[in-house]
Amino acid sequence: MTDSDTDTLAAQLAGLLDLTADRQVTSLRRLSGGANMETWSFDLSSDDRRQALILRRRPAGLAAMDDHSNPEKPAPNAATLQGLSLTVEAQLLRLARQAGVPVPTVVATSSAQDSLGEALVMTRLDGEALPQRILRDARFDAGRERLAFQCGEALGKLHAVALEDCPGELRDCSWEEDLNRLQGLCDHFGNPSAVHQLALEALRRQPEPATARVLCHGDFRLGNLLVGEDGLHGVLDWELAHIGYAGEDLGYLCANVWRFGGAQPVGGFGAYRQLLDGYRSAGGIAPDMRELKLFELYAALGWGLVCLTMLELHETGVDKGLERAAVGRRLSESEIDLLLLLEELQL
Amino acid sequence: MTSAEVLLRALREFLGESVQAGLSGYAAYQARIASNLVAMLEREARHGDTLAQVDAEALGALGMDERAGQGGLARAVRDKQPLHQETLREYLLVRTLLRLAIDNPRYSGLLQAQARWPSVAAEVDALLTPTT
Repeated sequence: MTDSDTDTLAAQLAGLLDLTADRQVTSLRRLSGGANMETWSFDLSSDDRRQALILRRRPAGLAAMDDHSNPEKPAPNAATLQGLSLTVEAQLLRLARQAGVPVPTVVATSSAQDSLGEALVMTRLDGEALPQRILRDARFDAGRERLAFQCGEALGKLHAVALEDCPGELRDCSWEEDLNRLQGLCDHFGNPSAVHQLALEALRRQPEPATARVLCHGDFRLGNLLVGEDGLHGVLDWELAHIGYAGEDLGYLCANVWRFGGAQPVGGFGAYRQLLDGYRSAGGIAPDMRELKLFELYAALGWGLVCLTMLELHETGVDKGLERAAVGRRLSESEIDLLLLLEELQL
Repeated sequence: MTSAEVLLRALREFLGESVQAGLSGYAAYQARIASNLVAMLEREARHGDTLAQVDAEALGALGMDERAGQGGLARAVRDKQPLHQETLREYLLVRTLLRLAIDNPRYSGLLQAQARWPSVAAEVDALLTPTT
């Protein structure tokens, strides 16, 4: 990205936000960016005021999962990694906010046809997102104490959103269809893991989860949470949201891979009881421990398949980065987590 | 002739000491990933033959063609072919511990597994220790 590209982006943002001469886009800088999404930070500055904002933008040429404008050229494994459109993500942020979940406020959106492309501008919340800092820095000690309860509370509020209010683009498949989807991915990748297959067979032998069908965030874990010294500040990255079982979001947060080496079961930072107490405090009907653990298993399998999806993005030249190539070697991490859970659950 | 392991160690040291030192920011981060990947390949050069031998023996013990590989085994599980479950589980545990010894020996799940199954962990350690 050159200076002139950044200038062009600033001008496009000024157009989207309908800025007058006394307000300017300043401090525009790229925070991160992969094959799927760019994230930029900038300020909207005038003489007496500064508003801290975030731009999320999909790189040109990539369609979202719910954008059927180019069905002949879907991205590889669209169903696993390619998330919802930013327009739908904006709808979800508004719904979550109304429900009392801490999220950024949507400022503006633009579609693929606009000069900026598919994009979402939202407020920039304070807080730390890097898991290792949240788990280990002393300044988050007090915040970490509250975090599991607050995560449960946020999920309880999110899961109370009425399904009829949710965007129609969200994936909403039955348990059996979902397991068939996972099998389809295993087959697509050439069935590289017998452990994955054992886990999938074990899930098939279980009855359908007992918890309610709800709006799931789908990627609720450190890395996607903004945390301050007083605990949870914001829930980010809604592109994998879908309709699923309440136990799924709760179990996902407890999966070993999302503990980032932390000793505690909930995200590496909290106890199961704290998470479930928080969930119940917001009116949620919590899953029993067996369902929670089954969704840890489901999350470990899902992570293994995401590793393979990212590897495929590398092998097909969509994203040639070193990290995408290396992540294929994290398959064995998902496998040991699955073996531990299969034994623990006597499956 | 220089072994693959020695070449890889030289490459890793070059990446760590010469390349990384001259870089900053994202490029330095990428160089660190590259160096870690070379370390993984060193472990594979050291232990890869052991893993291949364990795979071949287990597939044979399970009544499968040794060349069927993990794909063949996974499809056999999927298609509900009769496999001795205890042999299968034991093999997959040993294999996964070996795989992690190569891919990421510091993974928290590996440490949990070593605590849960100490005798299997000892068996794997013995496989990883070169015989003199």
